[in-house]
Amino acid sequence: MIKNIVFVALLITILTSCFREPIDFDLNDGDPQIVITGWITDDSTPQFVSVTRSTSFLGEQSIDYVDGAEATISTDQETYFLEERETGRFFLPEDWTAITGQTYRLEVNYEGNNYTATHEMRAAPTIQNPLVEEITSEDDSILLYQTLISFDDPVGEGDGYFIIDYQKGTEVSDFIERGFVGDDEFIDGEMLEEVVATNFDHRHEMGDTVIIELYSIGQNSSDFIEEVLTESFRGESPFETPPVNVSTNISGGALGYFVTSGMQRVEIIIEE
Amino acid sequence: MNFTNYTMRITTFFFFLLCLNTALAQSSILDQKITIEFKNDALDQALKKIQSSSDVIMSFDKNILPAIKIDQTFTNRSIEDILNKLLEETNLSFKLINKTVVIVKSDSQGAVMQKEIEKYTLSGHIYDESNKETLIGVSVFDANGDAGTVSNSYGFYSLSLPEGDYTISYSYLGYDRMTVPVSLNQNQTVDIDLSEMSATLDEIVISEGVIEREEHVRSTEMSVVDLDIETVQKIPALFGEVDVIKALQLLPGVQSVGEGGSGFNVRGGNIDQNLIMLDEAPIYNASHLAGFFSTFNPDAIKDIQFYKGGFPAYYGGRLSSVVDIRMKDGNRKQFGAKGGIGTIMSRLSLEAPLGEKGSFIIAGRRNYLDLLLKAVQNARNNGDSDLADTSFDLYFYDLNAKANYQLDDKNRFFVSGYFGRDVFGISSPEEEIDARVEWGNTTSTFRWNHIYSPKLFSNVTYYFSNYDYFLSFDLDLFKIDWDSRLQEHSLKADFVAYMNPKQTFRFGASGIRYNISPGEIKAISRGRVTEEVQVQINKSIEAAAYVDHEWELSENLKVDAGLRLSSLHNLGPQDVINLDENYEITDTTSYDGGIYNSYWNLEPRFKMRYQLNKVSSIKTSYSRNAQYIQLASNSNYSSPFDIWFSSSELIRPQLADQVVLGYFRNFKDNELQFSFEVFYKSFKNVIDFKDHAELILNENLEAEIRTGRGRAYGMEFQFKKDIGRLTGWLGYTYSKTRRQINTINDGNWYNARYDIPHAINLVATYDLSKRITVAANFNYTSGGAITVPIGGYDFLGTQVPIYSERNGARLPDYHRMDLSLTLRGKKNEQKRFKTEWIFSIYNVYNRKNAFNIRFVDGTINPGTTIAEKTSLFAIVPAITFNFKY
Repeated sequence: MIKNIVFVALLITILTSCFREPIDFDLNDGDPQIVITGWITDDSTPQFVSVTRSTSFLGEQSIDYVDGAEATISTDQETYFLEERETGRFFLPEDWTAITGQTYRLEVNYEGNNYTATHEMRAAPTIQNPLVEEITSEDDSILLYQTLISFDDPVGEGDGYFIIDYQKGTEVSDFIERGFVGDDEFIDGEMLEEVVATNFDHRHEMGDTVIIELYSIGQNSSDFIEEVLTESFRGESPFETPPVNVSTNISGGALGYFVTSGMQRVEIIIEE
Repeated sequence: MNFTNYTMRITTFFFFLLCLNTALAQSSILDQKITIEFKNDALDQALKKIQSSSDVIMSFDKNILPAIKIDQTFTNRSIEDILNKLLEETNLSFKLINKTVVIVKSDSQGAVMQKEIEKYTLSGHIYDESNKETLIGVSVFDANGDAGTVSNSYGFYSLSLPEGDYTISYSYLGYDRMTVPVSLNQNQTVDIDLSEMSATLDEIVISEGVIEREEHVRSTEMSVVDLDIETVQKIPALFGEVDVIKALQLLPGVQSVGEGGSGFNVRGGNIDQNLIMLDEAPIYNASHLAGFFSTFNPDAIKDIQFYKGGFPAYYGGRLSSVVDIRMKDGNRKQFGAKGGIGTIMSRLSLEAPLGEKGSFIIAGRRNYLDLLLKAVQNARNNGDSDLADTSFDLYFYDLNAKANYQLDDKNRFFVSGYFGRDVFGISSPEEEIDARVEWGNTTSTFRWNHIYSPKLFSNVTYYFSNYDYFLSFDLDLFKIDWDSRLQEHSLKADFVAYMNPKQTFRFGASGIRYNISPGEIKAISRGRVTEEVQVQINKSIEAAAYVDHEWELSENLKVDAGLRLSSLHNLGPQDVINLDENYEITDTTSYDGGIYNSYWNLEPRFKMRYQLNKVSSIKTSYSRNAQYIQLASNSNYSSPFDIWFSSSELIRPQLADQVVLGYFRNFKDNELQFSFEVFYKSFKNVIDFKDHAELILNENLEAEIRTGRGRAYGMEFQFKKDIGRLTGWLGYTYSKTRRQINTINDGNWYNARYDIPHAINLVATYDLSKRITVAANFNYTSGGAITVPIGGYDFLGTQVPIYSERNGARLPDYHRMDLSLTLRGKKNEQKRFKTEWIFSIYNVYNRKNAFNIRFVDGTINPGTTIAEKTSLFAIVPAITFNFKY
């Protein structure tokens, strides 16, 4: 099917003589800005936030970590000083334990400026009934598989979810792009059944061991990730909305976003 | 200052100016001082000498003049003094009617006889002799005087003159001038048949059409283009398909939304601020195939009037332009056919008489992209059964039909309609998929022309306009249907009173009922409806009434002042959201049936012409327009799936005030027309959408909308030549368009996306011989305004762009040249069947203009972001074969 669509698209492209080619374009880079990003979960893996500077959009995609910042994460009861194990990367103490339902406050100090953000760590619903579904590949030559999960949305609007799956033991470099994001605006308090967790471009094969993760990030963070996906992967459709900056929950003039979320993880083996 | 008060003051000032000029004009003509010498002249000769030496027109009955001879010289004396001297020894006197001095008998006491000088009206319709199509804009004038008028949109004219003998001249570009002697002693109806010029290449034709080209300087009209379809047909076109909208895009002050697109922006206005009408019914989406072709079949069109400013009071409802397209009435003399076979579509029109008093025309088009697709698909398949089972639909078609019937001299009826459809579908039984998208316009218009008296013409119109789209996505067990529809019913009446050759009064009223159904979605699973979403239907009424008075106050000064009262009334039952200052929904108010919200607006319109001399004039205009219905489009270009919505409690009507000042001059015996216009336009309540707005199937659309203000200003030059072997125009536009809306671009002013400062358009056609015409057009514009990243940062492996000011950067400049060659079949006047071949090349020097720019991961150096431009068209050759019977 896909090849048919591609074929039609190609033909239309030919008919309309559509061309793409690189172009020298001066973006008039602005001054570098401080960027603070962090996604803290209740998982046992090391948790950290990053402090960087913005870079030129064109050219090599590098990260410019800043040196000399200080970062803390606190609740009403406790304050955790984050350790700068690598330049610009601040890790929570290893004995740190996340508490779902708690609101966390991130504070970063750099060159006399103070940047803060808060986020509630919501508990992630239990993943129910993980499934594997067979998908015909584009050329029918091999069978591919996708995973599906079900879970209960708790009563009360404001929930947002991020779902991702990947093969066990692989590194996910395109975390945001690969996942699915959504909120409970229209499904508040309902059971979400057979939600696809596999990205179209990353389907699995027989014998793969697949990790599925469900993050409860809240509606605001869900909106933020939608914005990132819109702005970072703009196509060439003439019907796209005008480019606008993604939102930030960092106060004090920095860019970036701070998320805390509960996370559920299941492992599933694709087998006969 | 309160803006309404400001407007009222301007209106008051204009009317004061109008009254003042009237007073001045009335007292001046007999005070004109001349030097004149009579050498033993008879009285009638003396009177004629005065006429030729001054601005007055002499009217007299030769039989009442005494046989006296005059031998005297008057040096720098007023006309009144001279007349008094000439008539002092006679029993004659004179009286002034407008600019005409009428010589009458006095009674024994020397008083003027009280017999009124009667005025009578000459009226009628003007037709093309070959097919009895009415002709719009024909100049009708007294060949010995300067009284004149032009035929209206229905070919009707009315000219009131004092009793007497006249030679009336009828002149229209491309037609032989006709002069008719008329002895006007009663009201007379004279219908005229003008014949097309046969020798179009003779330079003598340059002397024809002088009067209508003088109208360029003489009329109050400015910012108006009357585009005849023959001119449009000569312009080289994309895929060789003649396109009315694409021709408009070549005019100063008009910008295309993008290469190949049918949308256009006029003097800083958004695309939804153009009122595009076909036989008075609005067309809500005037494009086929994502904008590459417009909805107007050139074979069915007679006339295009395009207003970008100085709007007459009888037009309303949009802020920036009016495109008034009139369909042909149909051949009343004989059966006729016309058609063409092009690279991408074919068309056919048929027309014929309906008895002796009527006619009809039917015209249709269809493109054959789907057939090309199938042919290519079959060629590629080579027996591949999978692909062979898959069918594609990708086509559009449209149908125009019109009939008219003349019941008697005073009543004529017209019925016309348009139906167009775009279809894109894919179906594969094997893959169990069936997806289909359709959209299109439907209009129907019924009109009744009634002539109450030779001086009072009326037209009553009922029209219906519908725009809808439909999406269906069927995956065997799961199906989604999505319907959206906008419907408009309207009844309007327009009256034109031709009071005298100097004054025309228009008045009328209209009402429009809108029904907008933004969307209904049905999700059907295993044969049953599992989910249904219906955004509530929006209902409203737009009503308006207007008066307009066109008055030639003196030979130099002419004004056209009008006032339009418009209103919008939202109708219940309706649930309306309430918003707080942060645009958050606080609660909902439910209204029952009837009107629950109204807006009223006064829209003054004013135009004035001051003629400097016979070949030049200055003109100015002011107009206020209100718009009550707009497009919810957050994208750079209008898509078929955008929805319209009306003003409401939360969304106030958009307003625009435009002031234009222009200088108009004709050169080379009116052969070359020059115009220079400066405009300033201010927008109020202009809309935009909040960042990351969701517009589709959003019941709370108002919460996504932000309103603010805008301004546009600029200047436009145009040289135009529309007669002779070489015709065309050269135009240059400089303009700026800015917006300021709270919450967008940090509340700072920003460029509108269609802010294009510089534009140059050159359109030229040259008749090499009677059989061969070559044409070219060149188009240069500044690049469109775009928003680009000035930096980026990493968020968990994704590069997030940082944008600067909205639309703060520009695409590369755009330029393109198109050429065409038309070869006509050997001309044989005896043969009715005529053919022509058109060979055209779009983008002849193969420039790859940037349609947009995107930023992508480089293929040579992954992990590196590069800028990449997309170009829609390279060089596009096309061949079209046209025939006419």
